[in-house]
Amino acid sequence: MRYFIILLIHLSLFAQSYDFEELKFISAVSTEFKKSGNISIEENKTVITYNKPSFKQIVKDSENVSIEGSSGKIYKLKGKAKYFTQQFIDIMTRLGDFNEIKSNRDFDVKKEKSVYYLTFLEEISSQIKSAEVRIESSKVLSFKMFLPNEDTIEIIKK
Amino acid sequence: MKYINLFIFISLLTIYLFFSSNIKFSTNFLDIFLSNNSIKLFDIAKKFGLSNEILIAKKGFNKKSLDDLYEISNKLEELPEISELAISFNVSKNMKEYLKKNYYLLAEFDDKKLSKKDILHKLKNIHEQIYDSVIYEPINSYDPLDLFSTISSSSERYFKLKNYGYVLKAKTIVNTSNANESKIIYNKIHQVLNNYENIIVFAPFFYLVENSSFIKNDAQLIMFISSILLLILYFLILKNVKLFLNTILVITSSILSAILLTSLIFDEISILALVFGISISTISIDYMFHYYFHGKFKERKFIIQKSVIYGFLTTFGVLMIFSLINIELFKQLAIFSAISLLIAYLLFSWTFIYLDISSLNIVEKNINLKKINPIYIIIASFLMLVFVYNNLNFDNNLKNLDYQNEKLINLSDKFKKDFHNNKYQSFIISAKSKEKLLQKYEEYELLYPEVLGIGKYLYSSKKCNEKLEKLRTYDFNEIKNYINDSAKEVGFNDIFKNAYVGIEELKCNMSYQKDMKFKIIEEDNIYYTMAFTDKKYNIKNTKNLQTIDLGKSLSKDTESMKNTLIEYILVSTVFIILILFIIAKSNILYPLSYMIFPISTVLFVISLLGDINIMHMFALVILLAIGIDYGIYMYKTSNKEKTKLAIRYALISTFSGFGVLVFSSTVALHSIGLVITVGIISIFFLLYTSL
Repeated sequence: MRYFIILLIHLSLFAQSYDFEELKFISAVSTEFKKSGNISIEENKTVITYNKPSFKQIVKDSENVSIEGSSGKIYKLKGKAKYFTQQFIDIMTRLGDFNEIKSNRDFDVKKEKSVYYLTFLEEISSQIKSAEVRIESSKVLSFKMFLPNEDTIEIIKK
Repeated sequence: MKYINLFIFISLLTIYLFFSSNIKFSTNFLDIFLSNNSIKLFDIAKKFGLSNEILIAKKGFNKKSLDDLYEISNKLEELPEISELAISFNVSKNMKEYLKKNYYLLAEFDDKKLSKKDILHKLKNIHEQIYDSVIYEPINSYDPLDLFSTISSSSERYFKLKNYGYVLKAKTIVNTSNANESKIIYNKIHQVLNNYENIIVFAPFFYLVENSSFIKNDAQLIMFISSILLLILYFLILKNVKLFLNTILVITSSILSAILLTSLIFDEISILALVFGISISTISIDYMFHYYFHGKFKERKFIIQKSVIYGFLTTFGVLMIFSLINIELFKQLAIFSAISLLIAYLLFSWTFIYLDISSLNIVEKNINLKKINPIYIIIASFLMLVFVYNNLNFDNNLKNLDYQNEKLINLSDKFKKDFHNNKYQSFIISAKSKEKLLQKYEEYELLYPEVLGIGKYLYSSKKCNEKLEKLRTYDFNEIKNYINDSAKEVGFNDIFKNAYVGIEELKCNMSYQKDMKFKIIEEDNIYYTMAFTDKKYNIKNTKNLQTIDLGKSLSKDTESMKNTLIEYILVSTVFIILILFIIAKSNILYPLSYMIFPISTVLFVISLLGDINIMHMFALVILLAIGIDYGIYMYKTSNKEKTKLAIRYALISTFSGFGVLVFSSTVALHSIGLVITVGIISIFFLLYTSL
C-alpha cells in the first residue's frame, strides 16, 4: 500500500492537465481558426485532444508524434511535420507552466505588469519569434506565440 | 672487486639518469601493429575528431533529463580538456547565412515542367491543408511547389539514444592514444557525472584507460607471485643471497646498457619492445646457473665454456637475423635483446669470478626414467606439427588479446546501435587541391549515391557551373506568374511574392567554411575529407579513397606481420640447424630436439585450445632462444647431471620470471605465459627422458 501511495504521489508530480481554447491566425489566408480541447502532460508523454470542431488527438511520446482522427485511424508524423509538431508541443508545455516561464534557456524574458514577453533564442527562434504570456496569481491564463511568417497561435486556458 | 657489479650498475644508472631526458619510450600500441600507411591514415582520421568524441546519455525523455544534461554541459565546459559540447542540433549563424545564400544551388532541384493547371492544383492542396490539418506546419512561401529539396535533416531537436534518453556530445582535445592524458580527462568526467543518477557515458579512449588499469592490477598480482617464487628459489632452495643480488645487478646493468645503446639507434623505444627485451634478457640467467653448477666461478679467470659460448652465439645470431626485419617492433626487440644478452654474458663470465660465491650444497636425487632416442622425439614433433598444420588458425583480431571489458563493449554496442544507427562506414578522400578533392567526392557520389560528406555543402567549380546552367535554363519567370495568378484564384494573399526570387542573379562563389559539418584538412600539400556511406556498399580502396576501419586495418597489418615473422623464424631455424650441424654433425638430432620438441608441443597445445595469436608468436621466439641454449648445453656438457641441474634451476627461474603470466586473465599476457610454461614443461620432459 505504501508503495502504491508513493507511486501515486510520484505520478501526480509529473501529470498536469487543462482544457484550452486555441486561436490560430494564418496570415497566408488572413483567417483565424478556433478549436478547443484538452492537454495532458505526463513525464514522457503529452496528449492534446481536440473536441471542437471535430475529434482529433495528437500524442507525443519520447520517440514519435502520432495523430488519431474520429475514424480511429492513427498515423505517425515524419520529417519536418514531426519536428515542427514536437517543438510546438514542447513550447506549449512550457508556456503553460508559470515556473517554466520565469527562467528558461530557450528564451529571454521581460515582464510588464501581468504579461511576460518572451524572445526565443537560437534554433527555436527560426520557428517561433516571440510569445506573450498572461499571468494571474502565479498561474498562466493564456499565451500567444508569434511566428516568423506573421502567423500567431494563442492558447487560452479554461 | 667484490662490489664490481654494484659499481657497474651505479655507473650505468648515472649515465642513464644523465641522458634520461633524451630517451623516449613510446606507449602508442597501435603504431606497433599498424603499417606506416595505416598509421598515416589513422593520424589523418584522428584530425577529423571521431576518436575524441564522448557521449553522455541521461535516462528519460523529460525536462529533468535535459536539465541535468545542460548542468553537466556547463560543468564540463569549465574543463580545459573539453573543446566542444552539444545537446541539440545547432547550425552556426555563419553557416545559416551561407546555406541561405547558396540554398538554390545546394538543394536538389526538380526541373520538371509544370503547367498552370499543375500549380493551381498544388496551391489548392496547400490551401485545403491549412483548413483541415490538426497540426501547424508553416507554408514554405519561398518554394511552394517543392521544386527544391535539401538533405534530410534530423526530425529531432535534441540528440537521443533510442529507448534510453537524451545525449550530450562532447569532444576532447587530449591525445586519446596517450594513456596518461586520457586518464586525466576520464577521471574529471567521472567526477562530474558521479553527482548524477541514471547516466551512461562512453568514449573510445575509455578502453585504453579502463583496460590499462585492469592490466596494471593484473600485472602487479603476477609480479607479486613472480617475486615470491624467485625469493623461494634463491633464498630457500639455493640459500645464496650474494648470488641473487649480483644476478639482479647484472641483469639490471645489461638492461640499462641495452636501453642506452638502443636509444642511440631509434628515436623512440617501444614499451612493448622494452618489456619483451627484458624478458629475453632474463634468459642470460642460464649462463650464470651453468657456470655456478659447474663451479666455474672459483677459477678466477674470464670464464670460457664452449657450451655457453655456442649457446650465446646461436641466440645472438638469431637476434641479428631478426634485427634485419622490416617490422619496427621486432627490429628494436632484436637489437635490444642482443645488446642486453651480450652485456649479461660478458658480466657473468667476468665479474662473478671476483665474488667468492660459495659452492652449492644441493643433493640431487637421481630420477631414473626410461630414455627415449632423439629420433622418436623428432618424429613425435613432426607428427604434432602435421596436426598443427591442419588444425591451427591465426587469430588476427587484436581486440581478442585485450582485457574483455564487457561493460564498455556493451555500452559501445548500445551507442553504435541506438545513437549512430550502426549504418554507416567511413572513408577518407584525398587530392592535391581542394577543387580536385571536391571533384573526387562528386565521382564517388555517383558510385555511392547515399554518401554524406563535404559535397552536401560545397561543390567543385565544374559541378556548381553545371547546376547554375540547369537553373538558368528553367523558366522561373513563367512559374512565378502562374503562382501569382493561381494564389489569387485559390484565396491566398500575396504570401508567395518572394517565391523563387534571386535565382537569375545566382553566382558560383561557394567557399569552404570552418564550421561546416564535414571538414577539409590539409597536410603536406594534400587535402583530405572524411565521408560516410551506407555499409551495404562494398567500397574499394584506391589511391584517393581509403576506408577507415581500425579493426580491418589491424587485422590486415597483423596478418602481414605474421607472415614476415614466419619468414624470419624459418630463416633463423635454418641458421640454428646449420650451427647445430657444425657443433654436433651426425648427432644433430639430440640438440635439435631441444628446439623442435618444445616449439611443436606448444603449437600442438595451442591448436587444441584454440587459435594462435601474435603474442603466442612473440613468445615462441623467446622459447626458441631458450631451447637452443639448452640443446647445446646438454650436447656439449662434460657433466650431464650438473648441466641438468643448471637447466632445471634456470627453467624454474624462467617460469618464475614470466611463465607465471599463464595465470593472468589478460589474454595477451596469458598467451605469453602459456607458451613459456608449456615450453618449460616439454624441456623438463626432454631433460629426464632424452638419451
